[in-house]
Amino acid sequence: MSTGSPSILRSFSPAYTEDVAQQRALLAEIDTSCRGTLLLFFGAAVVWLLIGTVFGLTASLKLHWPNFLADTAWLTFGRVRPAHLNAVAFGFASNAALAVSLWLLCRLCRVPLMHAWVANIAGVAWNLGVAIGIAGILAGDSTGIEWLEIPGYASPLLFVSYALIAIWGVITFRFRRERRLYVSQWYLLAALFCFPWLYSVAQILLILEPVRGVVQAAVNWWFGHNVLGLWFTPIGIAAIYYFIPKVLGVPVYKYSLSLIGFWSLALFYNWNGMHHLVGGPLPAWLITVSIVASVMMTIPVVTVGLNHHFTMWGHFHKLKHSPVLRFMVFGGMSYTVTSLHGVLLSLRSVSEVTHFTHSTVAHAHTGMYAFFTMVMFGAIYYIVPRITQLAWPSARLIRIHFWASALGILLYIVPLAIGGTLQGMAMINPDVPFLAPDKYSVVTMTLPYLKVRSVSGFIILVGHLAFATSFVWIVARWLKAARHRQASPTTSHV
Amino acid sequence: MNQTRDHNMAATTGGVEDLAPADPREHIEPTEAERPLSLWFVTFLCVCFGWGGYYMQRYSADYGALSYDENAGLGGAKTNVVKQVDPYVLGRRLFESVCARCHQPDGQGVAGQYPPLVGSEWVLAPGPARLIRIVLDGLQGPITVKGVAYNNNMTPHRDALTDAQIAAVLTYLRTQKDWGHNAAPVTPEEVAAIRSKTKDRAALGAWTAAELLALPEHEPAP
Amino acid sequence: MNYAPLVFLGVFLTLASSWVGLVLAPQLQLGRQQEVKVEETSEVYPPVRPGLAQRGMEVYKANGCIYCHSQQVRPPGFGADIERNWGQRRTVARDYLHDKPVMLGTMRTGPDLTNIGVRQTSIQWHLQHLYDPQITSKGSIMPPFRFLFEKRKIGAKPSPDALALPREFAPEPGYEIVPKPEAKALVQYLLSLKANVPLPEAE
Repeated sequence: MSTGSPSILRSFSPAYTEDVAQQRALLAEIDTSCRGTLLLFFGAAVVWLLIGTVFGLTASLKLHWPNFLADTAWLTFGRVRPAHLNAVAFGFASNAALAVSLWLLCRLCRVPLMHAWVANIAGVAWNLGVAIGIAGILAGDSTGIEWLEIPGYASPLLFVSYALIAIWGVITFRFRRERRLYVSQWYLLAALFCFPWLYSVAQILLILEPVRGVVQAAVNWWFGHNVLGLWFTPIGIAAIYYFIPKVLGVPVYKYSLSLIGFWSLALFYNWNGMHHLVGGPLPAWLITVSIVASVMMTIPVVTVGLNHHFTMWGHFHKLKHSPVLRFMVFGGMSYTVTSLHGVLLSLRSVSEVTHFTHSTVAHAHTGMYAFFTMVMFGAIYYIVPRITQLAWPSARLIRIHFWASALGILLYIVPLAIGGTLQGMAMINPDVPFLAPDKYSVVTMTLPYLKVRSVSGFIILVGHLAFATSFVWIVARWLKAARHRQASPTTSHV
Repeated sequence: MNQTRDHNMAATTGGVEDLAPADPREHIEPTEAERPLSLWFVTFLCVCFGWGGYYMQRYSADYGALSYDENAGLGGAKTNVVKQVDPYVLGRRLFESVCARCHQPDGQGVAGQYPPLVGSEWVLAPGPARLIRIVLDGLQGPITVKGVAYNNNMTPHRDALTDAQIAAVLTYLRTQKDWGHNAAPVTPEEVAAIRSKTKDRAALGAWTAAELLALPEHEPAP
Repeated sequence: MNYAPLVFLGVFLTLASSWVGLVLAPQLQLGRQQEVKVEETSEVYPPVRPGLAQRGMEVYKANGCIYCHSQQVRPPGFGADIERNWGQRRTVARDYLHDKPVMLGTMRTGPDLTNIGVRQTSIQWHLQHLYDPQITSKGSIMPPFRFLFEKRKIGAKPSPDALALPREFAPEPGYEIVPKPEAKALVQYLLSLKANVPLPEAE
């Protein structure tokens, strides 16, 4: 039954000596138990994805068309841009992250989702918090702290929601039936454990009882970078570690690489934060320690990259047939690219040029979109048919989604990274004026790249519309089928 | 219903059953294989750690709270030195970053708001006494430039610019070839002399055109 | 063996280590820094912002100015911050003692503003620039902040606050543009941005 996996399967766990059919029945039961909660989270994620994409496109247009929608206070660039960030990070990405983590933990712990109502309340609270928060940002109540803009009257909702999920996660884990820990579980537990700590420290030391002066910047970027490094990255990597071997039916290449990859990420990633402040008003040792940690990130990145790559080795032809694999491999490769780019950007000699430029925006989108979002898309495409027992209605829509997102994000990242670097080179050359409308100046030379970025935003929006259409379509079909079953309850399975 | 489902499965999955609902073809849960670490990889790890330790101890100065320069104590430090620059270049940079915000990068000013510098009799006056005063302590009220009346305020730059900087930017304005200017350059000493002579001016407010016109064009010798 | 507690412990220790290094250590080193006396005056640096400037800071924060403007001067020889006249010296921790929040910024779509209160002291210029950046800075991609101003019918005589605008930006005859309190506060905040007092640690 196993498709030619060449090496030793770990079989000291009872689960593997069970009847395979029994295992499949358990997986089906787990999937069904998750359904309502996951559809809630995924539905919210889709809504936030569309809202966030529109905000992002609006912000992008404003940068080269400053009069666009300029006369309403709530749409000014300085409010739309953080609204975009929070909608995609805490709206789309976090909903997807929570849902995928829940499902992966259930599957890997071999327990169905128990007390789903806890997770559902958490989901409602989370989305309510994000919605109020973003409305607050647009109304002018931003906290002024990057990645923590959501005003204080909304953040308690997020915190309560998160606490519920974390408690639920610990309980599920405590009652797991599978004693052995698969690599994805390490990453998921780390993420679920770290995020509330990061968030509460940031809220306390920056908003409730702000620390004095520039220490705020240190806390800000310890928090901000760790949202990427200890919340989104582990969940993305956990997903890749699950889905690639799962879809291919082969084991992960090397267990020791999994171990080293995880622990080096845990050790080094959270020391990176001060690389956002190279050249800034902090003592030299603090900046240096973050640069060292950033360069040491090559260890987990190379390790995980090798592990994923060699797991795929000999199976690359399957990319032609499997959309999930396409998203996962695109995401995995982007993870390697974004991390190596990040290593480069943290060096003082490179930061001198690239800091404060659009190339850092390109870097952020390589990580959040090309890596994390694409992995989440792949996960959603795998999970939804299993929890609804329906197939996706249209292969074409999925193809449109993948190619629009992939080509769109490449068109976003590559020109902007190049343009941003050139912008930086102009900025550190005092003989290039900052703004001179008819000459080569720092501001005017960025315009073509900013326009290309807006074009890429339209392409990405098309992909997201295709995705949303698929999602609404499959949920509609599921609702119809559910009504059918209620009317005539003769079919056996749910 | 089943037939539609199979058809859809085939359409969306094209053979690899990742998008299909849970069915007999789904592979069992993923596992990890055991393989030893390669020597290349271990070497790579050692190189990384070695570099990290070296960089950390070299660029942390004394780990002090007030030590901002990572190159301190290393000899031949590249930071904390502003390269010496040709005064004309310095003047052009200052013009672009300071003056151009009002007088515009082309020096033509904004109609009715900020007077032009190109061809301005105030800029090209044989002696720079009035011009230096304008830059040091600002200008307010009505002024006629090239026959056109203006009435605005110019920012004082006494605290913002040094004597060398003021001399450089005024020299740039007075000798700008693209504007056809060919007046005498301004030296930092001239600026310093007027700066000390007018050191109490700030309390009296910015100069007016009338006050300046009452002064001689050339600064009398002390 | 149940590895779960080990994983938890390991993750806890690694996150704790960075909390100690990047949050606690800076707080211990910099948390008690004090102002310095300015030579030959009775002032301290950095000064506490007066009330209107503090309100202006809220306007700056609410409108997301940090997403295009930084407030930090890098050391000489590292970039061209000093050569661009964005400051006479680099900024250090002491410059931000009274800021809540500290808005260092991470983008320079527009110029650095650490010393904007030194290099541009004209209130009229700031109001014109905020009303429509094209007035003072043609080709700028900064958005206009017309919503911080009010268009009013001119009364018996023009308001003393009314903006002097070039013809193509001025309202139709009989109307004037007057800054709202938020605009005036924001300008006071910008005028308060100065980091030109020499500090020994910035040498």
